[in-house]
Amino acid sequence: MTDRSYLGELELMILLTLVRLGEGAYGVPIARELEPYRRVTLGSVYATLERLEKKHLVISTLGEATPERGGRAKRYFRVTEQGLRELHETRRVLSELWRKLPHLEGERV
Amino acid sequence: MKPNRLPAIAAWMLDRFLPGEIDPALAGDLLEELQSGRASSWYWWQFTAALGIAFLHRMRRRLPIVLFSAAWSIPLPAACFYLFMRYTNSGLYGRIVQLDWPWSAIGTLALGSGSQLFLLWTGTIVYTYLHYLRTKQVSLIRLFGGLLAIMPTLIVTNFGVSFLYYGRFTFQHVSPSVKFTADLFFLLTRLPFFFSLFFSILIAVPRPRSQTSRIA
Repeated sequence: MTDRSYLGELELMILLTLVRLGEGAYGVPIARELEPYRRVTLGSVYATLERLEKKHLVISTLGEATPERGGRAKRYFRVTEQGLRELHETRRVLSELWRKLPHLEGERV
Repeated sequence: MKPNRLPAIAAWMLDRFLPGEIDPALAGDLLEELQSGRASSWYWWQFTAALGIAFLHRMRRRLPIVLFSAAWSIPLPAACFYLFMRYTNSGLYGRIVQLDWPWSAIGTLALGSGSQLFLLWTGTIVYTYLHYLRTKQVSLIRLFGGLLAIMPTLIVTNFGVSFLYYGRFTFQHVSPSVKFTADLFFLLTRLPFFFSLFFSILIAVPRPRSQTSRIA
C-alpha cells in the first residue's frame, strides 16, 4: 500500500480544467467551465486552487488590473509538471478501479 | 440599491471582512462577473459563500485555540463554585452582604465575577505563554486587549445562557461539581467560559503568519 493522498473531486476537475484552458486561466473562466458539470462558487474554486498551490500542483501569477475589476489584478493559474504527473497517476488509478467493476445490469460496455 | 453602487459596496465589504483571508483577485472576479451581466442575487450568493469559506479557513487555523478554550472551560464552573465557597466560608461574603446598597450588590458581583475572571485570565495567560514558547512571538498590548475583552464577552454570554435556560435574565446558578457534570446544564454553563476565553486568546495571541494569506 502506497502512502500518498490522491486528488479530491473538485481538485481533479479544476486541474483538468486548467489543462484544457491552458494559458490565461483565472477564476472566472475556470468557474464557467465547471458550471455545466457542478455548482461551484468562486470562493470554493479559489480555496481549491490554494490547496493545489500548497501541494505544488499549480502555480499562480498576478496579471493586469482592469477598471471593470475595481482595479484588482487577475491571478492566473497553470498546472506544474508535478501536477501533470499527479493527473496521470489519478487517471491510471481511477481507470484501473473502473476496469475492475463488475458489469452493471443493462449497461452496455 | 442602485445597480452602479453595488460593485463599490461589495468590493468594500470584501476588503473589510476578514482582511487577509480573501484574495483581491477573487473580489476582482466577482466584480468582473457582475459587470458582465450576472444578477445581483448571484453576486450576493457568491459573496456570502466566499465569506463563509474564508471564515472556516480562519477557524481551522485557530483550531488549537478552540480546543484549548473548550478543555479549559470544562472544569471552570466547578472551580468557580469552589472559590466562591472559599470566600463564603472565610466570612468575606458575609461581611460584603452586610454593607449598604449598592456596595453589597457590587461586592457580591465582584466576588462572583472575580473568580471567573481570575480563571479566564489565567487561561489566556497560559495559552499565550505556551504560544510564546512555541513561536517566540508575543505582544503585550494584544495580551492586555485580550484580557480586557473577557469581561464584556462573559457578561453577554452569561445573560444569553441564563435567558435560554431560565427563560429570563438572571445570574448563573452554580451547583455542586459532581451533580453538575451529570446535569443537562453542563454544556450551557461552559459556553460563556468557552466564548470568553476563545475571543480573549484570539485577541491576545499574535496572528499566525501563513504562507499564503489568500482565501480559502
